[in-house]
Amino acid sequence: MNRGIARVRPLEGGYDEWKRLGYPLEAVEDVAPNTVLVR
Amino acid sequence: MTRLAALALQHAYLVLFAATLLQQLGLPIPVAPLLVGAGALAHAGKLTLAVALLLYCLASTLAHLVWFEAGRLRGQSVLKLVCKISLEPDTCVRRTQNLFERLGPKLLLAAPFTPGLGMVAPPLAGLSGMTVARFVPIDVAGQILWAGVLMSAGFFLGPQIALLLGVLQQLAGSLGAALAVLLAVYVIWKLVKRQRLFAELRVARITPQELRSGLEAGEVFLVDLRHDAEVRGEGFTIPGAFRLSLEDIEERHVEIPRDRDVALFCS
Repeated sequence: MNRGIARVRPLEGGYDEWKRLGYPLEAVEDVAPNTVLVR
Repeated sequence: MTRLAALALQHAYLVLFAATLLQQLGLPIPVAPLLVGAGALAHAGKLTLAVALLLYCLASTLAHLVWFEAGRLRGQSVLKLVCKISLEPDTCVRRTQNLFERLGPKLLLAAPFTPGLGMVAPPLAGLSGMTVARFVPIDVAGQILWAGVLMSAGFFLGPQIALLLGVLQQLAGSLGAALAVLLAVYVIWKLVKRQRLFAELRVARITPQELRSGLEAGEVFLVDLRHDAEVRGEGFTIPGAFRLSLEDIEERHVEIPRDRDVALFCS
């Protein structure tokens, strides 16, 4: 089922490859808190 | 009794310690039969159960601390390395991360009882930011449970297990061959499945260069499918990426625009 989305393309090499190439990155500030992970 | 078996019996503690250490570090050594055997030897008065249990826990903890530290220091890459050992590396990382998010430290108790999870749990605990002081007691408790069950089985059912092993030894020729064929079919099926998936992905993938220009031109909508724990550890994403977990796709797919190509990425 494509849910109306014409084409979905996975990024070759994923995030690691993007980072390795030195392409721009943006800080993430709104990730869900560590609810279960216990320190 | 063969000379090798006699030698192993003579150095039972050392064999148990070394086998456990190497197995927990990643070598495919079957330790469960050794624990059952240790129980049976204890029943026969040739070994002290408490010492065997202590050595098992010591070896396991040492190996687990190595993976725990590796997970803490090297994060995601260690988890991927451990998952490569499994036959499903593509789903292993996400599945174990989800399990750890859901169960937390309880996963460490269940890990020894779950095939494939034993080695993944310590680096995952390290990756999660758990402290050593919290990790070790829970990890040791899981080991005591696991080894306790197997050693008890050996202690109380030693003679019956020896009888069963004798019968199995007689059947070993045909049984071993059948198991080897089944294992080979399973491995081939998994590899074929992976190759087909890779072939499909190769056709559809977008290169980082294409993505960069597509994003600049506003022609591509980018979705970050990485797990929350991974994003927390990394702290960065690709500019303009829309964060969405695989679990939320059913509910939130309406937020993805339909007028552009969609690119997505994991780690």
